[in-house]
Amino acid sequence: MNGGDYGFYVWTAYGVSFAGLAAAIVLTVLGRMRAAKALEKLK
Amino acid sequence: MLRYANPTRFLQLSSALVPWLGAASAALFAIGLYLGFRVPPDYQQGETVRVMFIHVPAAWTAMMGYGLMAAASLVGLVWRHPLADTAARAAAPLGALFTALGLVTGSLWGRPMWGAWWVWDGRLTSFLLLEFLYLGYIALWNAIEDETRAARVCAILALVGAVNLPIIEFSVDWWTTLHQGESILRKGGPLISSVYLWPLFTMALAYTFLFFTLWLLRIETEILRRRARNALLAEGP
Repeated sequence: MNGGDYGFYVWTAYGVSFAGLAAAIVLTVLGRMRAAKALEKLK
Repeated sequence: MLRYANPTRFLQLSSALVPWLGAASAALFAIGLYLGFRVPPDYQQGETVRVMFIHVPAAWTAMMGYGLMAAASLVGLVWRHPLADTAARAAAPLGALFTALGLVTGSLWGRPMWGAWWVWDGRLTSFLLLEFLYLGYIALWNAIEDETRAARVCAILALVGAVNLPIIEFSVDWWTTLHQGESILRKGGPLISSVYLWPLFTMALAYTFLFFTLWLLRIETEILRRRARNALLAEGP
């Protein structure tokens, strides 16, 4: 699907959504890994 | 339920749930996207109907997130349980993100369909207020150094702000809005074709599962951070 006349709006909406969700996943997983490492070091 | 209010037990349960929730979310995203791009364009909205499959789930998840944050705040306020405060705090940034995605995707749908990026109608304005409530909650947490006090003050803000949830929901009934009235979860059944309902509900489930995956991970992170801080304090200067 190329979105026809509305392609810009459709693809931008999907792009923004997936960029936002991907950023949230990466930041959350990295934060969890860092917290586990920090605690491990202290032990 | 109270059994899992213990952080160690919570971590065990959460570690077991997260991979399944994450995998289910990924699978539902794949199915939802496949279905969403296979449906024919709507006779009125054309291709922009596909924006609904990400806009509506983002908005629903944002409201669900606030409901969970307010419920956890109430538990924290009444029973003074730190895990409830942690759960409320962990939900706020996720809720802010889903609200922002709902606002941006709604705007990207509104421009070609309404001819405007934004209008100050009841639904859009109350939904924008939801974003400010999330951001205010996060700012307030960061502004107060004493975590116990921060949790109490923020819990009150979360509970007061919960009044906005029914306002968002019923805004389209109470006021004349450019935003369309309730067309999915309504008495008498949905107004939209089942062709569009399947991708919409699949994506809504994918967003919900993703929210729970990230929420549990954020609660786990906060528990580990607190343990590290306590271990540092126990070591002394």
